[in-house]
Amino acid sequence: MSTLVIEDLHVHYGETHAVKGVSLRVENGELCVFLGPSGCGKTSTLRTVAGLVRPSSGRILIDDRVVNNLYPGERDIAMVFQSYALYPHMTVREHFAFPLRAGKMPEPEIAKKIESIAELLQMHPLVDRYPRELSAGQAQRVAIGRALIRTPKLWLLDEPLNNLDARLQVETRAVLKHIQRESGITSIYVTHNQEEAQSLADQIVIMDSGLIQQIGTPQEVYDEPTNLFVAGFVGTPPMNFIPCTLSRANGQIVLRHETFGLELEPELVQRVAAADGHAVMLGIRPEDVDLRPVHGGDPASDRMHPRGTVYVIEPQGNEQIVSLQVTLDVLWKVRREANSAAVPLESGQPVELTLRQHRLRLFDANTEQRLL
Amino acid sequence: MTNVRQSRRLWLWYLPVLAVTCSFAGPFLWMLMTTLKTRVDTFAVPPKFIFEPTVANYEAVLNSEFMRSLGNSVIVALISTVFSITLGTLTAYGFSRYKFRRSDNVLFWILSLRMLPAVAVMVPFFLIFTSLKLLDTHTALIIVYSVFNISFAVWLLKGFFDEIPIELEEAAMVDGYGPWHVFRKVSLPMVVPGIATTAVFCLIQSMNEFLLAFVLTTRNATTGPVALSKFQSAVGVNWGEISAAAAMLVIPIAIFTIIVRNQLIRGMSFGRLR
Repeated sequence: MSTLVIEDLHVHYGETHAVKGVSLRVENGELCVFLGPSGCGKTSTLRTVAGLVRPSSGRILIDDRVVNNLYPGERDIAMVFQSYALYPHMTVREHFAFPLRAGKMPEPEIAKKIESIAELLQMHPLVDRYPRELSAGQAQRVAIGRALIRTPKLWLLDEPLNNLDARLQVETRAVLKHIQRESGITSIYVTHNQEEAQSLADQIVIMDSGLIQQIGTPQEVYDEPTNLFVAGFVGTPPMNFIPCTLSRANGQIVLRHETFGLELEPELVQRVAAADGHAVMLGIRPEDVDLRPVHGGDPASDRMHPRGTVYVIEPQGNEQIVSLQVTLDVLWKVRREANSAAVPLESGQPVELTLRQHRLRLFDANTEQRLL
Repeated sequence: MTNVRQSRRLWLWYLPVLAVTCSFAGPFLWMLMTTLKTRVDTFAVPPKFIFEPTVANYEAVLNSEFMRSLGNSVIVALISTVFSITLGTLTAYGFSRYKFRRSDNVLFWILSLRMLPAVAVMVPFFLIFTSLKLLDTHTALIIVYSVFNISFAVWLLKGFFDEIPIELEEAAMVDGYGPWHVFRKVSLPMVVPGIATTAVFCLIQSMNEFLLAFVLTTRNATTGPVALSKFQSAVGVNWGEISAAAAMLVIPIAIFTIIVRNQLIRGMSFGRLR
């Protein structure tokens, strides 16, 4: 039960500047996910919180107390490692007892605790096994149990689901979230899997090249990405992009591309301050595009809506993902319901794309910051 | 069909295995046989494989000065091994986990001690121990053997420590343990197979050493190998007694190896951690 505050954290590994000024606050009981590609500094930040890496500068506060100079063992934290880090010479029972014995808890009490954690994780028949006798999923549960048996102030998870197969990942994800909610332990969860982040997080911290790109709820980072990186990183399939220029004429703003010229709706016009000829990146989510098959064609130049040809259709049960060749080097993905009412499509078919304008996102092509 | 062929091929594999085994075990078995032969049988041509065994050789050795030397060997070898393993383990762990400037050079310097031929240091050692008044004592031999064994132990054990995933130690740190307890409760138990292997090597090395023991001892601290050489006398070589003495020199090593055999096997399958 505690809060974590990170203030202007920098981490260097020799010449490499891995974390370049990270500041954030994790509230009591919150599950905060660090999301980003590999090498973005998310794991370094987590390891610094754990005390396994020394920061070059900046402060880490747990419950308003600076812990920079405390040993990992003195910070009252628990961690689940990607590799699980189980001790090959200890049984499951000994793993559970290990953190408790560090705190010199009396043995009868330890036995009671082991009983209840084995109950929670359904590990009763396995408590006398060694790690080599466990499946990946069971080993994962031991790692979780070892971390939680002590009820730490902070629970740190470093890509804990990476070594599990897809089905087990989804299953364990739910278990983790349930346990976190039940125990109310403030948690930090590191992952590069944005789907995992979306489904677990109260708050997502998106990082890239050692910097925080955006902090927000899963919905916020999905709907209102602050820059091109976040927009492209969050969501599967990712947001579709196409480079355009803005031009203003007669109080109208037109998004101009070689193959189309999209007129912005009036309420959007007021929100775009950028000037004539400004280079922008148009972004739109796969579910915010409507498809209409077209036959033959009007001259290419005067189209209002972008067009494309169906490249491939991937059925996903109740929906389908349609890949579209929009220009030679731009491939878009569109999410579409797979019900019978929808017009059937086939590969090679030309289609017109109607973009839902209030879901349209514009990014400055140079600064990559969001304009609209 | 395939089964027959497979079993035939498997059988063929045993031929080289058998050849290697014989070339190693052959001389040893020959020695054991000699311990039970009379002087006449020992030199019989063609060699006798079936003969009337005698325990006379063992009786002679058991009642000779050799037993004292054997005792010396065991004392020196055990103490030097324990000493080397203790220091070697701590040093190896330090080198494995804490890198400092030029640590690789220091490590190589330690190994270079092991490369030193005994002849090269024989005279200096003799002079040093003369001035320390330690000639012909267990202490002198323990010190000398430890110099060689520690460097060997450091190198072998560093390899075992290097194989321990660092996350295991990190997990223990996070779980509330300080550096000493991380070493004691996580790292050390995991290198026990390595320690067993290293100990066997150190023990064999110390039990076998001849040259330095020959130079540094005269009477009180004479070790087994030195005593063995004294079975050659003016009246000739008594091979039966030498063999019996050599066989008894093997016993301490055999006992130790049997005690730690489970660890040795685990040492061979080391690295299967998850």
